[in-house]
Amino acid sequence: MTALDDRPITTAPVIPQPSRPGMEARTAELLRLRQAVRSGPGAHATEAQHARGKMTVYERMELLFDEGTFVEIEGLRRHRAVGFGLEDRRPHTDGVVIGWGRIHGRTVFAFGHDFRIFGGSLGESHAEKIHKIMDMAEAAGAPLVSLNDGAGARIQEGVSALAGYGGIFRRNVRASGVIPQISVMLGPCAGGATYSPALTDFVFMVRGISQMFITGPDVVEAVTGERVTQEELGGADLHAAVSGAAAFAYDDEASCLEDVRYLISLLPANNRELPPAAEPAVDLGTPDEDLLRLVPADPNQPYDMREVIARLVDDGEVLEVHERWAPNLLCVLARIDGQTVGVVANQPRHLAGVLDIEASQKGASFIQTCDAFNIPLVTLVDVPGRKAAASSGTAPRCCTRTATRPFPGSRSFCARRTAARTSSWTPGRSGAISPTRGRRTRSR
Amino acid sequence: MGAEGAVNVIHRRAVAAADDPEAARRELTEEYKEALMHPYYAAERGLVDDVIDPRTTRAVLAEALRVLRTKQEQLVPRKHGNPPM
Repeated sequence: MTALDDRPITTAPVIPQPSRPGMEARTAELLRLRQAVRSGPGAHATEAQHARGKMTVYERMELLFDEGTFVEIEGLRRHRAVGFGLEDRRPHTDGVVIGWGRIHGRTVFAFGHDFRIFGGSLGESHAEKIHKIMDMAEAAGAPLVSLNDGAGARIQEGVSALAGYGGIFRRNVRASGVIPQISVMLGPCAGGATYSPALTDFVFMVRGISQMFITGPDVVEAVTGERVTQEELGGADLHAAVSGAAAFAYDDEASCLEDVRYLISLLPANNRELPPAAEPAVDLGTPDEDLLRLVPADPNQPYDMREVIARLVDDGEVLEVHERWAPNLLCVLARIDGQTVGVVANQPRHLAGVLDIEASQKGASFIQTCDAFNIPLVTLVDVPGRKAAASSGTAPRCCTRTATRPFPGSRSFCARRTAARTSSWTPGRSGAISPTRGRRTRSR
Repeated sequence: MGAEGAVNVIHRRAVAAADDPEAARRELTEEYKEALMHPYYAAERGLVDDVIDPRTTRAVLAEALRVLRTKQEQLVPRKHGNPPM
């Protein structure tokens, strides 16, 4: 006990540790960050989006999916681009929201541009997120919905952005006919932002909000001297009625997204499944007297084939594809006895139901879609003449000839050799050309 | 490699030249941790899908498994691989 007591009591040197937050503080920080990401770059940006009559991308996801089922991934992603001031602006999500959710209880993948961030423009990280969700949808064999509200390539990122588009197009083509791909146009989409939707199965548009064009009105004016508005150049009405690029057009986003949900409910998740069945029809045995009155016995009297379709499908409920483009041919999705069917029907009310080039394109495209996704075809045939036609498929086909007019054009539509089950209404006639009728259709 | 090890490599000269090498090492170690050693660094680059609240782990796993249940990926056909024996 000598020198020991004299020695000063020493311990290991105390290194001042900066206080590290505990788990609770860290999760609170995460929650705050999440909320900040959801609310976007600021209240003013959200207000500006609403002022344009548009919802934010998160509001859209909530409407698209069953309540509370949307799961976002890579919400914390940020770009790493430099130059043009980008290094100082690195918002979370990088302008696109990706994830999945349920639609009527079934898994569906989606991506949606956030117009509030860089105008929804596509940069390298943004594109990689889209690639990822497309790969997941294809691997899982589930539909992919895109909510498009983006200005195209982020020009500050140059060719990196363009390469990102290449990756999207390649995946669109690879997944085509494998999973349903649905594009919902919800903003002014130019250039690259329109090419991908054009490759998908169904394009939805909303009047006054969505436009699709290769380049905007400014470039058109610079090159051609012609002044056009955005709506005239690529609005919903143009694409729904003239170009045929849009299969569906709506007055507002909510009803548009509701029909996207309806369409998904009619489609299989992928090409290896059958479409989901609903309850079988209760009463199929009662003869429908109305069908005797709907189609006039006089072959020169036009009638509305839509009314016939409504009598044949469950609850008279249909989803009409390309309602205003080539209206001389009707293409509708509906259910018969609970099973999804694609109905292709001549519409005598328009151009006497003649099959012209546009009607043929419309029908062929619809038949191709139905065939890819195992949807049986029901054809209602009343063709006065044919201008062009071609399509093929292996899905089940049922053909009913309602025609009271003779014409061999019906063969392009419903030949015995191509249909699994053909039938004809009692007044139905087919066979030799009627000379007067043929001349009249050709001269139109 | 931990933060301290990384600092010893990256800032070896700066630490050695500092008036108070220990203080400099501590400061640089903290700097390194804040810059790189947190999940948000990985999340910003898409190296992880998300940062989650630990309390929700079970639900997050269940949801991920549910959405991947139908996953199929085809490999290119081959006789066998050729790993080193």
